[in-house]
Amino acid sequence: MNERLPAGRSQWLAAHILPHEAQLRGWLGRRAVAGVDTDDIVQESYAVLATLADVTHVENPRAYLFRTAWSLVMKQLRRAQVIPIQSVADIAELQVPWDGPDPEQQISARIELGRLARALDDLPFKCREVFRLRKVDGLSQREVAQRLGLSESTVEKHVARAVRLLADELTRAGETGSATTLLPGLKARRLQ
Amino acid sequence: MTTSKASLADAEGAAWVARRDRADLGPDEERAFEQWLGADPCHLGAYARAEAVFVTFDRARALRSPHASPAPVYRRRAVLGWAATAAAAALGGVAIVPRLHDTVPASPFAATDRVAHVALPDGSKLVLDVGAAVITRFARHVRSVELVRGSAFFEVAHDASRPFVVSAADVVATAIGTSFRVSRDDRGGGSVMVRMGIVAVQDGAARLLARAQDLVSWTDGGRNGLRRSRMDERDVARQLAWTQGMLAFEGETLAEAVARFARYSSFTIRVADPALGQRRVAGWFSADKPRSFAHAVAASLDARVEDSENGVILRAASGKDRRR
Repeated sequence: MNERLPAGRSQWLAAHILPHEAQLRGWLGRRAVAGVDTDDIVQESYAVLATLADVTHVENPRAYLFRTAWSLVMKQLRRAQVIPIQSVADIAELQVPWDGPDPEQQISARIELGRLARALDDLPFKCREVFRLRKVDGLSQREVAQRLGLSESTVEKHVARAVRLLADELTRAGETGSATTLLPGLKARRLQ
Repeated sequence: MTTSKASLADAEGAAWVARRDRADLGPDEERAFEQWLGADPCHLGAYARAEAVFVTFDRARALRSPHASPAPVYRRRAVLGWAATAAAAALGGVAIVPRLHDTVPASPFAATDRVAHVALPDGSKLVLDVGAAVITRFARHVRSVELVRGSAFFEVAHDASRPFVVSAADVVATAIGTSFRVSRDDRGGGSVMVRMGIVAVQDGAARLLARAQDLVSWTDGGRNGLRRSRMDERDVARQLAWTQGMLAFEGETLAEAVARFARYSSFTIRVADPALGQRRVAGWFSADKPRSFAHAVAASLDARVEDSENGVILRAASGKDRRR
């Protein structure tokens, strides 16, 4: 199979990046900036992390993720010329302390088994049955199709849907806050 | 969530992950995939993210019991039931899912300066070594223990309908009724040692059945795979001496033995003479009686014991200075 990601990269993303995505979304959301879409930034961040030649030098993946995302925000702002470059420099100074992972996350960044179980439980019935046989019981898609009397392409569609729904479930932004609290200067400048 | 370009890319990324999980792509599909990836830099990101989600659920295999043949129906029900109760716990009091009845409280246990014995509600016993911490979550269909750090020994009460699942980072050990020890260090390494019964040890797709006197170990978070080796009964007993408040030595240097004692008490044994520190010791000693250990050592290694401020000093006895 022609691999698009370096070997082990999806496991690395699963273990060290995905668990922080919800927090990243919350953080980006609180910094809502016109013309910058959180979903785009998240996707672009994954694209950057997926194409790094080597991740062994990344000591603090969470900080790396936040920095990557923020540099992409900056890039978009500069490109879109939403605000003068001078203000961009101001924003850069208003960084959150992303270098200090909170203690809870230092102990265990990975998504808890219970959380996975709950996400599985929330899937629509057929989707859940298919995904469970595939992932909990470890059957191949073909075996799942045989067991449930479905066509393989139907099974594939259920798997795709499950991945899509589970991604939303696991990465839903925790908090939403006022966009102005942490960037008091930004709004005013944009209005000028 | 927007119904934007990003959202469409997420759906397409998930579709490609599912497609590639089904079977290898044919030449036409390869081209289509390449084209899709090349059309927008976000597409690779969406695809990588979907892969990460898919791979995350490799760990869901831990929810199976060790003796299950592939997917018997009753097992799946058990997993469903557990998932439901775990979900209830995760939701806390915020939302109520109608079919859920019980919740799963999480109980943390940690041993800071001495070995801790814990009687678990199902009748199982847990012994925590100094420095170890666990979080237990007992649900109706699964008994789940997360080893946060250190070493813990489990004597699992038999209950076939309720697997006992210990996770150490990404490695998961599942048992029904057995006794075993799970350890992890802070560099991503760890081991499972079985005293009695069978334990299934799983790391992602890798899965091993470990029997009595098997030691399954891993390094680097299990990324290099799991290794299984055999131990003899004596080794197993020696490795578990701490669960009974004992320290067992079989040819360790005195310096090593003294370091072990230091973990279990604030009483300090100092070895004044480096050559003495390299002598070998053997035997079983009470971890909480370092003074007796010092005297036993003095007697067998021809040394003498001097009291110090917060413990004792061991010196090589020599010439006429020699005392009992």
